[in-house]
Amino acid sequence: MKNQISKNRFLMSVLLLFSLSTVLSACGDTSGSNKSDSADPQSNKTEIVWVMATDPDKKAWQDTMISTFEASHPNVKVRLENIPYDQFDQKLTTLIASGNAPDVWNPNQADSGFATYMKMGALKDLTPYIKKGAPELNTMDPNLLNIYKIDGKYYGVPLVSNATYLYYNKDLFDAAGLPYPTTDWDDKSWNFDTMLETAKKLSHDVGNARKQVFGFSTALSANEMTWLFGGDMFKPEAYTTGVMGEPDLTKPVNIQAMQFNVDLINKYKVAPDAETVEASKQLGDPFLTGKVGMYISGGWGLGSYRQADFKWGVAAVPYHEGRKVPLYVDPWSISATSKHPDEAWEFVRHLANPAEGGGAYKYMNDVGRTPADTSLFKLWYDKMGKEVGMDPKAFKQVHEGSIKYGREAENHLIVNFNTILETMNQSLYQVWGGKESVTDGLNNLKDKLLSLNLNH
Amino acid sequence: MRKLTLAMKREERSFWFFIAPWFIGFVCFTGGPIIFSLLLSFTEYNVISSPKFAGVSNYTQLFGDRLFYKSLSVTLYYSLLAVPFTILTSLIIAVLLNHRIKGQSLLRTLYYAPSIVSGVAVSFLWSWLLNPQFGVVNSVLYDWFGIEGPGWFTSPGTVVPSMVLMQLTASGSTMVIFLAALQSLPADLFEAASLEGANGFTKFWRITVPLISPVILFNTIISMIASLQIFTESYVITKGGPDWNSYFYVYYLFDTAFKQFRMGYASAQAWILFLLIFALTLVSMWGSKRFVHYEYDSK
Repeated sequence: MKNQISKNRFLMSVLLLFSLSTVLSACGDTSGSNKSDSADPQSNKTEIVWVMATDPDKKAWQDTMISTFEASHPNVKVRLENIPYDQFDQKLTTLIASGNAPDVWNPNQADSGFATYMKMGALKDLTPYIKKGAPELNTMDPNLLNIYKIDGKYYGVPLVSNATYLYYNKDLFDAAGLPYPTTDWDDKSWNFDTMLETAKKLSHDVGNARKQVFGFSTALSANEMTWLFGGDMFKPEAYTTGVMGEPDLTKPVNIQAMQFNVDLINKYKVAPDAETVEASKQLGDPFLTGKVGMYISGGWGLGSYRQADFKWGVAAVPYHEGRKVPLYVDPWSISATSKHPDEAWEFVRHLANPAEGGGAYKYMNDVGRTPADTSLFKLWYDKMGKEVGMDPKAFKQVHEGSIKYGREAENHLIVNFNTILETMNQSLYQVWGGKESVTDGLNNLKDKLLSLNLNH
Repeated sequence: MRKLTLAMKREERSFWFFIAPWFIGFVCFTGGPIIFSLLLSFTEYNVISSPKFAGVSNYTQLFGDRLFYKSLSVTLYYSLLAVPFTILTSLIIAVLLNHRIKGQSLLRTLYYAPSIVSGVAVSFLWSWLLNPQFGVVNSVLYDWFGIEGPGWFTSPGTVVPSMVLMQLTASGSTMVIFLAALQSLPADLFEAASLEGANGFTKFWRITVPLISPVILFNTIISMIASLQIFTESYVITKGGPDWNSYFYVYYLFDTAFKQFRMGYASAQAWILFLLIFALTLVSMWGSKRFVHYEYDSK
């Protein structure tokens, strides 16, 4: 009997061991990260985690940033984590929720954006650090810094300020014998009517999937299309409070803007229909197919169109009363829960440094993105002018015009914009196809947006 | 008597000992989360702050949600097409692979092989094959037959049928189960039927189908459950579009859970789907009684 009891005990302890090891292995991930978050006892090094969306264009830059920072800060180790773009928001939110938020990251790297993370309370107030003095920010445009100033506190340091341009395919313009569009944003003769005329001359064989060339297309969301005409689908307070609220969809200027874009597809047949856009998106950027004459899109095209096998240029978005175009200013932020905010701030300063060899300088120079720091613009204009094959002065004019007529992108300011955008794209499909009137489509969209219950 | 009890006790202990890894795993990783999601479905939970009790508000909201009905109807439509398609094609392939020909085992492997490839990879493959502008299928249709192919995944009318077509590369396990059932059929019945002058089709319809009817029922229920949970295809290829036409139930659930971070709402969606699948399974078990022949019935 005694033997039996000891056997029982043995069995119990084995079972306990089993369950314990299961529980431990379940927690393994968390305990592992916690360990790496704190100081490494062997070398007394502090480790900070830097998260970036995966982008092969940025790989060399990231590696350089880490090695130069670690060289000047021997007590800090930077661990880089790359997350694929389309999993970025999901992964990051999970990390934040589980208490493993990265120390330094750019909240605008995917579709959710700054407002969503701000509302979660995931971002640290950087005001005390900025006040303590950061010479790296002396040449930063205060307007850009203020984008991420909420209730008088700074939550981000701008690293890049992509503008919006009209890209055009020089080869297609040359073939049609057309002059290139202007770089002057205040030239009122370059408006949507003249753009339509140009688009008509550029388009041919539309409907024949093998030969067709479209005069015009755009990467803008339906909401941003209305901005070009001076409209807006949301109320001004949506962009300041971050809450979508009751959308303001069916005002006349919105309908006019949408109707113009619908007519480009169905009436004038100078723009690709939704199916064609979808098909070419599966393969990448529609402009890169070389079958689009003019394309309105963000400043990242300056970098990614370098691989195009045709010549291209940048021009002003056509004039319209009240026209606004999106600007995409991305900030570096520090997590509210960061265990090493001081080290993280040192790293942000390193990333934002506009001096030669500094993070901002190299991001402009090596990755080719639009700098946020004013002191880098001269260099950047010269560089881009040479790369695109434009007079640097003309390039400067295009960029400054875009900034002048720019406003911060919707997804950076409205909470959960990824969901709003998806709802918009899905619901307006029939409108782009000409199967539903613009007014009906917008009313239908309103129902869908409100049924999302995002306003709380 | 006492000895026997001791032996039984010992056996019982060994049972728990050997089942422990699975049992603990189930409780921690499946059973526990299931119970937890039931509790969550009565709360509002955004992952960052702790859950707040919300009563049945998630469920009442769900029944007023237009996207809930849209996603449900799209999913049922898919299921209605996909289940018969999967059953028919895999049964036909199984019957063909049951013939004694050269290279039989090689062919069986080939037809099963796509099932072990990840759904994401298979989805990418299909999206390239069926790309209306740059895909192989439409190019072949145009170059060889002069037909302008359909928009496949990019047009609202063809997106669900295109996804049904994709099941061709996903029904390997269904096919293997059919094949196993076919191989266990007694040869004497077929011999007798042949002597009576029955042709191939009659033999198939009158002997094969009734004998494997329990397997058909099993496969139907399994593919029905799988089809109601379709997700990967729309996540990888269409993102629920165009015009919500592949916005499947689980895709919507994923959206509310991992994009909008409304875990309570998503849990409520999951439980509604569970009840739906449970009810449909019961209905098909009950409704099929007349058509399914178990061997012990006929005795």
